[in-house]
Amino acid sequence: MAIDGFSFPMRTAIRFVLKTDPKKAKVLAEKHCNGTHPTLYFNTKSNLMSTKAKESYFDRYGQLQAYVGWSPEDATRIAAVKQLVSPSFPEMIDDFYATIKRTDDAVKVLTGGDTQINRLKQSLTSWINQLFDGNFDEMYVDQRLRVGHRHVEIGLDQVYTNVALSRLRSSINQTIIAKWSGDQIELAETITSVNRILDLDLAVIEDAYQIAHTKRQKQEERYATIGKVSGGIAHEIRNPLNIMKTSIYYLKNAKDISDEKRDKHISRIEAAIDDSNLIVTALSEFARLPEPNLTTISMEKLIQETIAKNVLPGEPFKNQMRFSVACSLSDDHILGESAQLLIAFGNLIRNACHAVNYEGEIDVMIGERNGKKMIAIKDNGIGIEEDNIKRILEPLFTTKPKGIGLGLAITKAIFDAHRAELTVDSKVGQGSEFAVLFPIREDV
Amino acid sequence: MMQLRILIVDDELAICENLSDILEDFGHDVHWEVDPESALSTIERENECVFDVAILDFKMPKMNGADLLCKIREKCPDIVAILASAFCDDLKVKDSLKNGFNQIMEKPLDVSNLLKLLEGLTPLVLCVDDDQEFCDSLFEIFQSKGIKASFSNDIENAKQIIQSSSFDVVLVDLKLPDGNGSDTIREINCQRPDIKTILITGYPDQLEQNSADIPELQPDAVFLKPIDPAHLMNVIFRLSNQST
Repeated sequence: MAIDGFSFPMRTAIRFVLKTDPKKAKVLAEKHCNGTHPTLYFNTKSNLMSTKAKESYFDRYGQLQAYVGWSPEDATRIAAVKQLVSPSFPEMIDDFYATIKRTDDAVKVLTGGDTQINRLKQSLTSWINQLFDGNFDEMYVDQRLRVGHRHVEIGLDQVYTNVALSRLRSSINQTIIAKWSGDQIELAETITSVNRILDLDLAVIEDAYQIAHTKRQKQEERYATIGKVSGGIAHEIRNPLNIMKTSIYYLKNAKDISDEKRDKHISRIEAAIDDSNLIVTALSEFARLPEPNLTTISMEKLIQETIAKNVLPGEPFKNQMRFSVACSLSDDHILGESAQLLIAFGNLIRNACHAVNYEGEIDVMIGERNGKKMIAIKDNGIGIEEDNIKRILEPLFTTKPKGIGLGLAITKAIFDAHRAELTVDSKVGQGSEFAVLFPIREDV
Repeated sequence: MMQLRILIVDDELAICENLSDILEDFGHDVHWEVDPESALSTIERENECVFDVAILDFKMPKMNGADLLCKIREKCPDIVAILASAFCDDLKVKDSLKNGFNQIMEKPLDVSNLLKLLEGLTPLVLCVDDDQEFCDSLFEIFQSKGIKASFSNDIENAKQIIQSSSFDVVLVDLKLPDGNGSDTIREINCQRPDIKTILITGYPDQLEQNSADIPELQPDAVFLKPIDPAHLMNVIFRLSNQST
């Protein structure tokens, strides 16, 4: 993030405000530009968490503070001891990195050599200064979160954070004890406060490490899945290509082609192109499934729309298949992105239609299960064999001769992104129930 | 190109119809099925194998191409089987070559390659018989089926022709002006084991004297005059593609 055209204090102020409220910061910046033209660069990529997530994380920090028994006095004591320890900071920092340099596994991730180490020393200096400033605000917490994220990025084992912080803790405590001239009880209290803040720091770094690690793992799993899916798609797309190729061969090479035959082959090529397009669409839906853009939506409306979109009026099976939608909730609203949920429920509804062979009964129930809002789609169709139940959510698994096996995988990916839970209950010959449990709103 | 009786089994209707259009345009006799099980009942309905070539898809409902071929071979042990699959890098498909497919073709199909492959199945035949009328009628039968054939009226001439071309099958009459057909066949089998031999005779009682021969030197098939042309075509096709 770069802020040009402002005085230094103003820049600092804006930088601070930007962290919590970018909109307000922009207004502030424009108001104080004094005729100069400010340039504001919002580097969204470096925002590891959304503002909302950061706010909720700050709440969590409050909980962690309460857990270790943190009080405002701790902050006061830590701030008071700063002038005693700060002259020793350079020494502590040198020791910190000298130890790292002696540790093969730790030094392995520092690929930038001494330049990187000098930069890291600066970061550590600002980190340790901040520690003793006594302002344990959102910015403070955000800085600690960044440390954890960074460690995942560079691939540093979390164990080194623990031992390095332990070493730093010893240095700090020894310095305080050595230089302390006051009351011994107060010394003990100060040491406790310092230990508390260091433990909190460690907890935040650990948290951030976990979050970033899980995120990275998910991404890797996703890439692996996409790789697997693309392989399957390659196979699947060869079928329509085969049709196109043979039809074109016939049109080019056959001796006497009747008009009827020509038309037939041309429409066959068109159909094969449409089929390929469907496959490609399914793949791109799967590969580029974005984070859902959550808005408040009505579950009943969503289901009605899904049915309208997927079970077209006038289709021959319409009269033989019975749909019922029942809602037992007074408030059927959830947070979700309807475009994505339409795809997901569309797949479930279409599967149900196949399962009943377009002539059975499909009941959609909107209600509550385990205290969560739920949409359940129940059919009295052929059911799923027990061995297959576990596999139906896997990409490329299909029991339909013409299926690609992406439908339910996409569906699951969408529900995962909504933090909704998909459960499957099925008995061969009796039917299946797919239930989607949405998270309680506060958890979203 | 020899007119072949081709069976196509692919669960994709459009592919069955497309291949059928193309192959029929080239004069082949095509029968297709989208369901492997009905393909099997078609085969089982007949007393003998009515197909020269089978073009099978791999991934089909109920039964895959390899399992289908195993069942087809019960009735048609010598059918030329081509696997057409979009899953050619699949290990299961690679195993199919061991499962008796003569050729694997990747989807999307290269139709000219398929046609070349089918053309390669056309046998090159030499017929050695001093009965000119019989040779003439055989010539017409062969021509109508697209089989390429040479004719010779005596053994000496036949031996020279054999050197000049790579024949798949040689038909030899038992009684020839310059020698005995059985001896000629024995000689051919000895020198050119790659060539299949058929002995033709109007005198079945004269055959017995050679029955003590070792099997390798005996003819691959024996036909009694008057011969059944359709049966002869089938045997020629089967013998010529046994080696490939």
